[in-house]
Amino acid sequence: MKPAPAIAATVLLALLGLWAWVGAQGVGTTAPAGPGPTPRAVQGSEPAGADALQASPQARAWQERQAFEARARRFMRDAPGLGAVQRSEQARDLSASIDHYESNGGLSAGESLLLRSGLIKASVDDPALQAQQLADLMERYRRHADQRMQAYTAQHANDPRFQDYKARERAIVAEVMGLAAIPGGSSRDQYLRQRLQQARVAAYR
Amino acid sequence: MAATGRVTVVLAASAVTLLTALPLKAEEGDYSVWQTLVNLVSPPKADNKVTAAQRQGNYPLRTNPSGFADGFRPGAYSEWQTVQLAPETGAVCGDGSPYKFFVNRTANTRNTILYMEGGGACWDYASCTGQTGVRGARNPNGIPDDYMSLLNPGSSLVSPFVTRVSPFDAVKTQQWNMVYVPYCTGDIYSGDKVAVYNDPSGAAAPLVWHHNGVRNTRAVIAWLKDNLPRPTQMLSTGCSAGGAGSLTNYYPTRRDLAPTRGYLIDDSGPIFPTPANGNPQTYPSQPLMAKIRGVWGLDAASGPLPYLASGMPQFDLGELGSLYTALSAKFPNDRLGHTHFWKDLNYSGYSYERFYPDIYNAPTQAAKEQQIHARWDIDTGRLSQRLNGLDNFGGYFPQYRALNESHCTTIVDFKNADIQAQNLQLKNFIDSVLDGQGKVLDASEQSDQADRAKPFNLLYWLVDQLLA
Repeated sequence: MKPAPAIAATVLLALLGLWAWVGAQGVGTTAPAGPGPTPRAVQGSEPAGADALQASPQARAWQERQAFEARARRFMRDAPGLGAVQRSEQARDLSASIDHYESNGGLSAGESLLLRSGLIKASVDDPALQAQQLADLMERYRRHADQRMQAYTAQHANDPRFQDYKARERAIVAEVMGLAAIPGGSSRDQYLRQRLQQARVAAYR
Repeated sequence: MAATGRVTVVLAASAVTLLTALPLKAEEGDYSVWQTLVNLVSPPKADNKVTAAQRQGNYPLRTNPSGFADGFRPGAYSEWQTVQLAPETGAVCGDGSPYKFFVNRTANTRNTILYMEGGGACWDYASCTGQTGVRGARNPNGIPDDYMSLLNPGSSLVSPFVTRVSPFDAVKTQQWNMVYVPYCTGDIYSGDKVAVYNDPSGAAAPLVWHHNGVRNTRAVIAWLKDNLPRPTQMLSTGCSAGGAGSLTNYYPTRRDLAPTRGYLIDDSGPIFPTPANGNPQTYPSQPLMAKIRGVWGLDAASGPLPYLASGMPQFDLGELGSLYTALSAKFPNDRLGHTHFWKDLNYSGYSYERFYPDIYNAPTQAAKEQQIHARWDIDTGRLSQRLNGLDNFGGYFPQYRALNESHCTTIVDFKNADIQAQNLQLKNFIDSVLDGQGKVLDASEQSDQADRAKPFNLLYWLVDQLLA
């Protein structure tokens, strides 16, 4: 068995080697073809700013997010082999993370629903209980969506700019459909589309 | 020396942290570890902006006017952002409300997936007003700003392609920049006409409906060019109307975004090989195609179809299914794929049930389904044959899945779209498109027996309840 310092040195050397290799590979930096300039990996300037970058709130948030995704994937893969208590704890922990990311836009409702479904399927053994929890979950999301869509529909219908546009739209459609000749040599369809676009520009200014 | 040592240790520690967070397999288009760190605090800028020439001509790329608040925050990674498009871009929803779309950005790659939402189609007063008993189109009242946080039918059918963490499947696009293109025009993203539909009963005012799919897509592309780096790899995909939209818009999208590698997966949005004046007995989709070519303005001078044909010599306006051949020839190095179920009862319903008396007058549901299946079999067989002859355009046709009327193979999960006799899973086909070499996989299942013998799937059943 190697002494601890030797192991640490070996690990550090291996990591540095890996880092050097990654740098040499450019980790798949964009291929050269295409009209846009090819980005270059930051090279000469990394050492001076590396610690500051690593400590930035953006980097920390990003690492936390990556760690969450890795944990979720690991759980879905390993759950069948975990003990009941461990499975339950990890599922609860992941559920809290899903709450967090769902509330700040980091997960869509569809993503969250699928993830939560996966957690239930992976952590609840009793088929009846699993079915009940899945059904409750679906119902919760459906009810929430119904309420929000109703609110949106009401707000949308009463949006003064939309109402303004729809009034203009009615008038323009009646006018253009009644024209015997279309100005400017356009087709009736083109002219109608252009006039309605102008009306939207005016209404949403 | 001491400072150098300290920096080395910091670098090594940083590298360890980031390497454990990054996907194990670096892809073409991924940024280096260091560039990723830099991107987090200084987001990469657009490098393939709309040119003056692209702002002119037919279907120009029009961007938001200066000073318009589109809502985008370049440094907001790993979250769904709503991007507003101004009326000046030409974008609009079917009801005349503003169009918008959604971006979920990541710091470690330029690669990008464009996902077009599905959701039916409409071509008359009944279908565009969502009349009960008639198949219609999604989002007739426009798109809420918080759309991605609502469990609308579209998001309940979310695909593993656009979930950062899918509990069921892994695919490389989960690590990419994601662009979710919502659907509100009822025209499979392919129309360009303001339709005025009269109420057949005469009771209500005419419905003014903007079949504006082509211009909306152009506005999305313009925004992407002006705000994000050029993708190295790009997948354009979607299911149903979104699949069809991915197909019909692939040429201009791929041309203008100019990825190094382009991929297309049209899930369950076929444009069947059908002569414009073909006999419906032989070409069952002919009545539908004749209908939509008119009401969506597809054949207008300089309209959507002539526009596509102007850039793809092999696209024959007398036979719209020539689009597959034309795209294959136009982009010989791209990898393209189409997939749908033989027993699809949704897109097939849209395709035939309002055009054939033996379907809409069928005495029983079983008789109706039999007539629909018979026509779908003819169309699917012909499409499968066509794709078999194209090396870079594969076709994958499993039989049946107990979810969403066997409509869409890539939603919820990639499971149960297997072709058991050939020991193939849908993922084999996806991998063939996204990572394969040589001819893209072609496969077709002969019987639905094994699929129907599968055990009850609770998750699918619950999703179906949500959709009901």
